[in-house]
Amino acid sequence: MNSPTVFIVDDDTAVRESLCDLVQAIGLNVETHAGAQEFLDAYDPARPGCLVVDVRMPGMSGLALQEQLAARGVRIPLIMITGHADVPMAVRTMERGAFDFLEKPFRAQVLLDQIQRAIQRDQQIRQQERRRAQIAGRMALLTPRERAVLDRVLEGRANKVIAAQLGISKRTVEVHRAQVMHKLEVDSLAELMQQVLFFRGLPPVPPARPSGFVRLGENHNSGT
Amino acid sequence: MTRAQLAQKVRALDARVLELERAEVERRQHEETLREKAATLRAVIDCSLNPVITIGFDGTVQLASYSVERVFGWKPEEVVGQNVRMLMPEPYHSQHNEALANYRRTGQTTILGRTREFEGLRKNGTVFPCEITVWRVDLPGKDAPLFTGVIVDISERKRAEVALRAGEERYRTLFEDSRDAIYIVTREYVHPAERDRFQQEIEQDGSVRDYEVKLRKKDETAMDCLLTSTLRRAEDGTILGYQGVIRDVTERQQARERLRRHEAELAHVLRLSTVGEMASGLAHELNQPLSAVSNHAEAWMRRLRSGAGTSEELLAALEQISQQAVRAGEIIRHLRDFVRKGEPRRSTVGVDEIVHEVVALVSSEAQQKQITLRLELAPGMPAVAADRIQIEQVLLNLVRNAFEAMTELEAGTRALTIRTSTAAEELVEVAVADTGRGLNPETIDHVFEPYFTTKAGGLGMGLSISRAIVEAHGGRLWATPNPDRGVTFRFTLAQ
Repeated sequence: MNSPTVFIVDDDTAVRESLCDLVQAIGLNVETHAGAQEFLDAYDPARPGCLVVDVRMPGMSGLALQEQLAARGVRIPLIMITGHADVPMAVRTMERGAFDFLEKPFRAQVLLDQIQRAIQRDQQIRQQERRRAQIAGRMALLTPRERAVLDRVLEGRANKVIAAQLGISKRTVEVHRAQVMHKLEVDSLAELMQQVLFFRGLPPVPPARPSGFVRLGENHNSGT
Repeated sequence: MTRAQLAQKVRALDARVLELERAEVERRQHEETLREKAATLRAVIDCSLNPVITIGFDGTVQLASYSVERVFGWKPEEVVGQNVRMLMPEPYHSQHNEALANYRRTGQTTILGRTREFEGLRKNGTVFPCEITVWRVDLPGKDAPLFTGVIVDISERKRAEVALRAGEERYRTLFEDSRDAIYIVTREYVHPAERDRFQQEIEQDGSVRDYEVKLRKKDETAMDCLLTSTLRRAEDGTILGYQGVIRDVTERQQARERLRRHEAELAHVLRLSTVGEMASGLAHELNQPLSAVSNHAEAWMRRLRSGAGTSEELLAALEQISQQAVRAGEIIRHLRDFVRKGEPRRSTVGVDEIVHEVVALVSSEAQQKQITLRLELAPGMPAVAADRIQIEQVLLNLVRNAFEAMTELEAGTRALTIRTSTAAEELVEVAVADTGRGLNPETIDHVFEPYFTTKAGGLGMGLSISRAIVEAHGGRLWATPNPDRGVTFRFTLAQ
């Protein structure tokens, strides 16, 4: 169940089924839904893949779905498609973190390329989250003292200074430091910094370069 | 003389006196009788309303009846003894004596024994027309004749004649100047082809009004005419024929034709303009099937290149492609029909169909504007005789107006309901209700006036043309404010 799935949500049956046909033609798994609510009810965030959604649907719109997913902390990449030329709408969805915004009719290649990229992005995100979870797990093993030492090490303090600050012996600092390295499973200071900074300061997933929504009606090959 | 002689003489005188007395009595009686007779005759003459005047050869009036005063103003005694020419205006006044003298000399006359028209002169100086009859009277023992004339004042008659002539003249002028043809004909005059219809109607009702008929001029051109006609009956009630007026309304018909064509052109222009306004929604409608076609085609090109996929799956995809192409084609066909120019085509149309077509046209626009569309279609609605495109145009106009009215509302409160029902017998009613900003009940009827619009760039013709279309179908289009909010526009169509 870990191969990526392309989730297609569109109320127009013909469009939905044809998109399904298209995506399956490049060997990807597809799951279709006629409405946003139906998708939400069925979706398990553990499943990798990406989401292709029509912006305007009866009931919950694509935009509302985007909000719902954000509220639940679900970060599946979202490709919005629309049959209306709707620049303000496009801008809004992109600002809220959509992966891309495409206008019908689009060149099939464009959509497929973006789907591939979205899937990659999704895997990237998941990887990062797994990594973070892993680090979190390790960090949880640290005692409060060890954490205090870690913070000061990252600030660049010498062991002597740390000892003075914490009111413990230099030797104790060295012991704590070794423990931190051991628990966090890193071999060097560089690695340590990398890991912790990654854990703490990871920026949100940056949006991919938008491929088609501003150039209305133009078909193009998108590079990277 | 002796006593005896005296007595004899006395007796003789007595006898003579007696005789004389008797004679006197007789004479008196005779006189009395004469006087009576004269008085009777006089009375008879005086009874005559028309003056009777008798003159001598010299023109002197010897007798004038009582009525002389009534007609001439002179009392009879003022006239008797005068020359009769005092009663005559010029030129007769100067000619009369001469005429009398001439007659005396030659015996030639133009007046005796005849009735002729002259003029009379009254005491007050006015002149009046009269008819005079004059006879010659020869009395025994008289060597000169008398002339008796009876004068009839014909002023009234003359006045009546003048009035009649003027009246006749007036009617004749009206008759001759009339732009309509006026006719009086017998029954047989009516063309056999028209006989049944026309005769039946006129003989049943006694008249016809604005009866439509096509007539032909001498130069073979046809005219559209209206006949207004009544029966002519004999005294015993049998129908003799007809009389009436024929009005050439060819020009009026032509003007009506021009107006109708103009309205049709205007309706056409409005349809074009509506389609223009709906362009993005329509583009979306077309995008859907085209996207589907494109996606399927692309999918199968890839599969075929890599040798994947079964024939059955390909077949299924091709069927889909075909269907979606048809779907796109339908939209285009419908659009093309909608903007078609040309004469209205009446056919039997189901109202539900029209509602669905319109909904198809606006559904993407509705979605875009976040308007909920509700349909409440009564089951078993009868078909109506109508031009489908025109009724679609009306319904589309109402729906898009409703959209317009709801733009300022909060999303979630915008709802449009289309309801169909049977109104009265043989009447179908379609209602379009919105939840928009509504209209003032006082001025609500103004919206149907041409050039009325609340839209910044609006033409203002939509509703006026819509009403014209509905009325041309024999129906009504009107609007009522909703009790809660918004307006409902309703129109009726006959089955």
